[in-house]
Amino acid sequence: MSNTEYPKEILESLEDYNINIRDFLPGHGKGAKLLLDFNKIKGLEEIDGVILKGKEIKNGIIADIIIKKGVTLEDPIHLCFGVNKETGIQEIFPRIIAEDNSEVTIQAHCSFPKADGLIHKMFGHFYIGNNCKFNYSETHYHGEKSGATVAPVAYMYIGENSIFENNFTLTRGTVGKVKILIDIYAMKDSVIRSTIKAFGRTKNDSVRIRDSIFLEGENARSVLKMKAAAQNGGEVLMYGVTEGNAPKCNGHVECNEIVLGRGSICRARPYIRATDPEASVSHEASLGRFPQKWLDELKAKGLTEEEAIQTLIEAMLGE
Amino acid sequence: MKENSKYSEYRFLGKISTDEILPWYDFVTGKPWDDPEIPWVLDNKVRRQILIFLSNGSKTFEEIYQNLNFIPHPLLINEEEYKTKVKYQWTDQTLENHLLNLEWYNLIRKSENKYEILFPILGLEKLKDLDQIISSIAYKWLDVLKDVNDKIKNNLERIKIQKLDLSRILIEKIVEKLYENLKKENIIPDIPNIKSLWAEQLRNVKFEEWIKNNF
Repeated sequence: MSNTEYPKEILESLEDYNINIRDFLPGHGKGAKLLLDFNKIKGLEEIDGVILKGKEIKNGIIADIIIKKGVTLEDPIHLCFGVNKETGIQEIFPRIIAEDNSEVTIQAHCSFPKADGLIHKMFGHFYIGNNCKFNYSETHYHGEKSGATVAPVAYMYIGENSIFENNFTLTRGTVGKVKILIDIYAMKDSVIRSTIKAFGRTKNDSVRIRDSIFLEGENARSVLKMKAAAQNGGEVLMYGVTEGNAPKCNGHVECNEIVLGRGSICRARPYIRATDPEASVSHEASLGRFPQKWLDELKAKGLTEEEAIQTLIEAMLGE
Repeated sequence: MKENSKYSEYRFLGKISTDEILPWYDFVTGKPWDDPEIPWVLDNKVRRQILIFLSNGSKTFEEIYQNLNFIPHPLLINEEEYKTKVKYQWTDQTLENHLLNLEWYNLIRKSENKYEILFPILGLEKLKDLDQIISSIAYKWLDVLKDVNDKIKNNLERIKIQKLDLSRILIEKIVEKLYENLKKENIIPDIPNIKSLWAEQLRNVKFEEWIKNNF
């Protein structure tokens, strides 16, 4: 398949994130791929050690992604769940199983460049085995009209002694309505690093994300970082939960949000719990404006206050 | 800790019962701020799983432990093509923490060596059997509300509170009153009914059924 067969708008919108989409197209790059435009599978490429199976349904797809035991993938698996039309309801049901001792990076892109009344729903399950290194990055682009409603729900189970990195990014274009629910269950000696970044730019933008990490195994550890900004009447809620249910587990939740302009709303709800006497869980949250000292330092270098704020936001959401 | 000080007799021990939203209540729900309808303990899927398992009858610690074993299956790929080798098992200690947590919130209790559930869960299969009676009662209530609809509208116009439609709030208030009267008449017991478990069972069964029917 060449670039021209996959909607140009979807590809271009991902390039805004400095992602070289060419390597992800079938026939290019070495990674396994599953490319979707609404409910049509536009590309599916398996490689050794990876089973990919997709089934088109009325409004989207069901997909199985299996990474076999002991497989180490140098190139990421690319999943692109795009919609190149204004309206409709897309529903996707991915199930990812990474067997013991596997090492994999999955790059998922959800791009809806023309969205104007579009709904995207996902109900995903991730099952990561023991001794795995699993990196999952999901990047979203919802167009410029605040016309998308995006409601993914994901349940993730991380096996013993595995390292799981989860990165969610929605910092380009408008947001529309985003309601994300992620539940991560961490087993013995596993390490979870989950980072969420979102930017609500207009009064029609609302980002509500609940990311919960349940430390279910002895010595499981986690860091949950939620970073967001709301501008020109946008709304952001970052709800970070960490629960210590096992001996010697250790978790931390961090929420940082910046409010820009009147009418914008930022809310943070770090919620930590411990049910084991040997568990240790902590949180920190800060909302509001950047410290004046930082702004003054940038202004001293010749930037206006507005430019200084934009620079700091880029730094916060881009790091 | 049991307290035996002179202040014990001043401590409120009874059940709070009032029609008004009092200042120490949550203004959103009109209930004590620390007592949400769905307690946080149900955020965790493991605890929900335990409760659903116990709804089939009381179980020993060992039985619950065995039930928490799980092997995930793919949605499309059949067992001949691929058999999952990933497996999850919760430990004794974590399971004990979950059970103690559920006990603390009076959702379960341990009697002798078995755990039993202390609130009602209606399984989905049994719910299907009751579907007809539920629909018929709902239609009867609809008829009643249709009959009094004009009365409601006239009353709202008379008091002229605001231009916005208040009928939804009124219906909620009617249902609230109905619950109160049902409890007074001992037709329904005054115990919690945890709605999220409904949702969990419903979603689970519907999703699995849907996959089975389509593929």
